[in-house]
Amino acid sequence: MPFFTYLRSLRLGIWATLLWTSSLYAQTPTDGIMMGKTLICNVASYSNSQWDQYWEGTLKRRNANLGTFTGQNVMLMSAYGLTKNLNVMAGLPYIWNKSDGGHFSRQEGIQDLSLWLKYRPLKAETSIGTFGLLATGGISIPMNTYIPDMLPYSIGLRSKTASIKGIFHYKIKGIYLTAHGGYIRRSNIQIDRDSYQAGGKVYDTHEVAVPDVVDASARLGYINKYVQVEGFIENMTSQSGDDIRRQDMPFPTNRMNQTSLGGMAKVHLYLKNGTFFSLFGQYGQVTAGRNVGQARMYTVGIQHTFSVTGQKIIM
Amino acid sequence: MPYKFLRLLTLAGSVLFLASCDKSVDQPTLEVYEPAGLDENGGQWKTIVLSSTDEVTVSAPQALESSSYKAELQSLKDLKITPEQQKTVDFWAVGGVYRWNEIARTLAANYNLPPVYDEIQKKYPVPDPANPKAEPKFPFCNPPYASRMFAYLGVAQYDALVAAWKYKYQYSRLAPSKVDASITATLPVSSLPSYPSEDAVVAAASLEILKVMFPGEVDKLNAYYEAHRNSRIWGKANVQSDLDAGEALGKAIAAKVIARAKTDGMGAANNQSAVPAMISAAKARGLKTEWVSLDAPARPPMLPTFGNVKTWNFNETQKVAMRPSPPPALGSAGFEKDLQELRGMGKTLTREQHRIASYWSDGVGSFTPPGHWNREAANLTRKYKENELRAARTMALVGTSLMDAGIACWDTKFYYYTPRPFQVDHAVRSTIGTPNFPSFTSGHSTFSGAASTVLAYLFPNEADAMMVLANEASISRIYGCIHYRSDSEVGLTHGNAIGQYAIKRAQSDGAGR
Repeated sequence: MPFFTYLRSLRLGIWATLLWTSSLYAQTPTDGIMMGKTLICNVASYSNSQWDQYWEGTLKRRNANLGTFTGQNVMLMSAYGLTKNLNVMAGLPYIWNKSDGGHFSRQEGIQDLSLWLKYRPLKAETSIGTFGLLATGGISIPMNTYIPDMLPYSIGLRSKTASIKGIFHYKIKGIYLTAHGGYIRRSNIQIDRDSYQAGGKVYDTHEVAVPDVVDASARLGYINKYVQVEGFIENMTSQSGDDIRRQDMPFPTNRMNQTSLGGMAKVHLYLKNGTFFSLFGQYGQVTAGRNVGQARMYTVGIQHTFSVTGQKIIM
Repeated sequence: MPYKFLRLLTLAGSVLFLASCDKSVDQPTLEVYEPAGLDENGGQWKTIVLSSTDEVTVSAPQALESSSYKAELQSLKDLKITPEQQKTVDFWAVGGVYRWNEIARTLAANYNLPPVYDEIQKKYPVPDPANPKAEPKFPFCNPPYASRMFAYLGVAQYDALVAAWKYKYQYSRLAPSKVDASITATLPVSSLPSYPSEDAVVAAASLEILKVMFPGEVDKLNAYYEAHRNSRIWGKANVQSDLDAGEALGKAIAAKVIARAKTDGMGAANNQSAVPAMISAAKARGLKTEWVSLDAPARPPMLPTFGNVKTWNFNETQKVAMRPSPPPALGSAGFEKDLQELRGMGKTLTREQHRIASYWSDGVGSFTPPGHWNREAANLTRKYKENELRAARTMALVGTSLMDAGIACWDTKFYYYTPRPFQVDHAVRSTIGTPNFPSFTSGHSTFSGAASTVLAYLFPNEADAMMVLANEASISRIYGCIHYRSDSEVGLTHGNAIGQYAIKRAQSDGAGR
């Protein structure tokens, strides 16, 4: 069902990983190199999430007409260091959704293009560690006219989004703590129907309001030049919306909330040509939610980092 | 520093976007109109449930010179209303018939949710009209239920308004603002006599019907009722005695219409014990594989004996005579051709075809296919500026035809008891929900064929548009992969024939086209 928020969350997870790797490199003092500027990193990842229970409003249930829901995506992402304190990023997923119960057809397709700028206005190296403050601004735009109101099979909500996030980062002797809070503004969407029920009202229009979302996360981890491990908690909370009614299908107006816990590990493999590959894996589990599936999800990915100037990256 | 600039631009852009994006959902605004005509002879039109308007009486109003009427006028003169009250006036000024049908569609959507399987009892509970607010809430407003609800609403409004028109012109008491020039109504006032108030008649008739159909919503309905009545005083369009007479008339006629509803056989429409015999009979006629529920766990079929409910515009013999011939038998060349089309649909479905499937899905949680056509009809009453009586006639003719379509289609479905495409071949997966009853014929197609035929007759300028809509609704079920082509095509033709019987009624009710 509202696996979408879940996917979104997963993507945010990937994003955060990506952002932090990239910025960590740029600000890691121990390697003696500021690599931010002209550095590019390309990522390909595969994610798989499954759930067989979901929250219908606040009621957790199973539904044999759905069985086990499986969402998969392949995501391509790139991040580039405009300066050591300013990065630009882009990402685009291809998504497949299906379930093994019921008789609905699967849905798949290219979903939304995301673009981000990330800026680090403050970085302070002190005797008790390094502190950083960062801000990101991003937008996402649907790349095709996929069907948004065939949840949970729809590959997304087809909303255009704009978001801002504030990030706090602290690191000492390879141990880091990162926390962020953000706000995602989601545009109203157009559905094929010109009538729908939401919040007990019938609307005679194609236009549907999609709730805005506040997201937050905290990550605790360790990083050195070869490995990175972290544990995280994430939360996404809709700022408005209605609940899935008893035995109804989910709908884009639903108040989709969730909290998830997970962990991530990454290793770096350095090449003689001065570039390096990273392999990473992430696992997460939704622990609490409302109008979302209780998903278990994993992501595996590979990432290649190099400088566009051809300069070798020396760690 | 170009980057600094870029950065600022992006942040500024984000903030702007965040702040400026309007979350409110725009819905079409409904203009208040003066009716295109008053249908002064409307009191002579033929009623549907009432044998004649003589069945009810409205006593003569107080004379214009009477002190009680003068006091009523004075209270309008003294009246000052709040902006909130003005909003209520504006809301109801759109039309009582229109608004009460809109309320009915909202309730249909709110109650169109199937009961949840009871894991302890190991069965699907049946909604209990005596305990409507408990889960599963009563009613499960599925398409047959909705068709019946809209039909009775339309009939009660229509019969009550025919009677109201009769007494209006019998007593010819004009609207307060026409009687006393110092009163300015904030609603359009025509030369239609105001006693009894047509708004109070519609409100009372609608309230009584909807209380029976949605017994868990009595409080909400009463609030609508009060608001509708008050709006006529607040708009200075009626005096209290107009409303009181209208209320009495609306309630008296609603009671007669409800009496018909109590004896139309709906109480026996969910006779699950009749199902084995239906399957045996279908098999004796050549059925190879009977329909089974695709819900998990299997759900008893939706209202298997709804086909026996009393029709409006034709009788039992005519219903049986109209019943479609059997569909292509399972395994026959005709059947394989239909199934093959659906097998390929998953790969060939265009976005436009998917749009059509989605637009007409009218599934769980929606106001159902009858609701979809109820809205179509209601919009046409506004487009052609119909007065309340003529609008009610439109809604009653379409409403009764939709219920007739539901009955005749259910009769057909359970007569042939054919399996859905997914049951025959699991490769045929749908993009919309598969309803929980046999396949042949398509309910959507039958509803759409009937309603579009009636609307094309009532609004000749819209005839082509109605046919396009009906064809689209019909084929949407093929695009959704929940019906074979033969289900849709035969259903549409069946619906057209059903609609013709409503036209017969319309041709002889004295209202002209």
